[in-house]
Amino acid sequence: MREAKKKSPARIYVTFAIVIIICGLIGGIVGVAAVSNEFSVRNLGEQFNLMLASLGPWCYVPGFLLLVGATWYYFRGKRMIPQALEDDELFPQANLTFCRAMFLANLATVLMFLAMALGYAASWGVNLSWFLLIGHIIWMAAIQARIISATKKLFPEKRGDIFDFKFQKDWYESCDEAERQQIAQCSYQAFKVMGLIFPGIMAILSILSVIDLVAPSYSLLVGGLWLVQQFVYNYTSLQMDKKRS
Amino acid sequence: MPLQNRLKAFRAAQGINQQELGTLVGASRQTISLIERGDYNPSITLALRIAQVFHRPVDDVFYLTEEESS
Repeated sequence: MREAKKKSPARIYVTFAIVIIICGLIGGIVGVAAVSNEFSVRNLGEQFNLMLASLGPWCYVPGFLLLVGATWYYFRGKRMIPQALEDDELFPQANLTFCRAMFLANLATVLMFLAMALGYAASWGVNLSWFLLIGHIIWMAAIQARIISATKKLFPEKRGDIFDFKFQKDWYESCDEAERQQIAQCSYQAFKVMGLIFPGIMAILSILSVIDLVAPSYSLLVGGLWLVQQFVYNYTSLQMDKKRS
Repeated sequence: MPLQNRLKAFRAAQGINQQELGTLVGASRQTISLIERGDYNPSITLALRIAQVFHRPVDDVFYLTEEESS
């Protein structure tokens, strides 16, 4: 295990204070600039909304591109399976190929929801958007199911059906200690990044709501999501501490 | 001090592959591969289970080496 670099407490407090002051100053400047240029900012916001609306069904393109990539990795990995089962050197490569396929397919899922939300903004594209959405869902579900099925050939001990709502739980339970450690590290990274993103977005929304560019409900939505994340993390930690005490 | 192991040699001597060893000790083939390459330090439980498969004491299978000075 790597040893953490020792920092003096004074340096930590000074760095913290400087960061808070800088963030406050930036927030203040941006807030004043937004209020004094209210019309321009509103105009910019409206232009941005118009641009999003004009995209219409084209919003689906990034998701489909990711699905093409996921499918390509899937077929590449599938070709490696027979040899990977015999060859210890090839095995990690085959696994990595399926991980890449799943990475792209998971990103495509989020992009699909984004496209679903934005795709209907343009009235001319509603019918086409429906068609693209259904196509995207079918392709996404099929490729994810195929990747999981192929991964199970490499890891016969793995459990879980992707169409089962208990899939995450079943899959996690069939993981060994090293895999669970990896999941914990990935979750920590995601938590750490979101811990920076949530306050940042909240600050931006606060500034924009000052000039009525965004409704307070947006702040409520982001704050609600942040609250859920914090609650789940801290509650789970508390429950684990309870068991250990 | 980095943890080293003789897993690959013992596995070869017993004539079992990574998948079979993984099944015997309740770990995935990937984890066995990671341990062999020195990319993952197993828990005491897993190390004991692995040593049990080879009928060896744990410190025969796993051992510490002095860290190389940079």
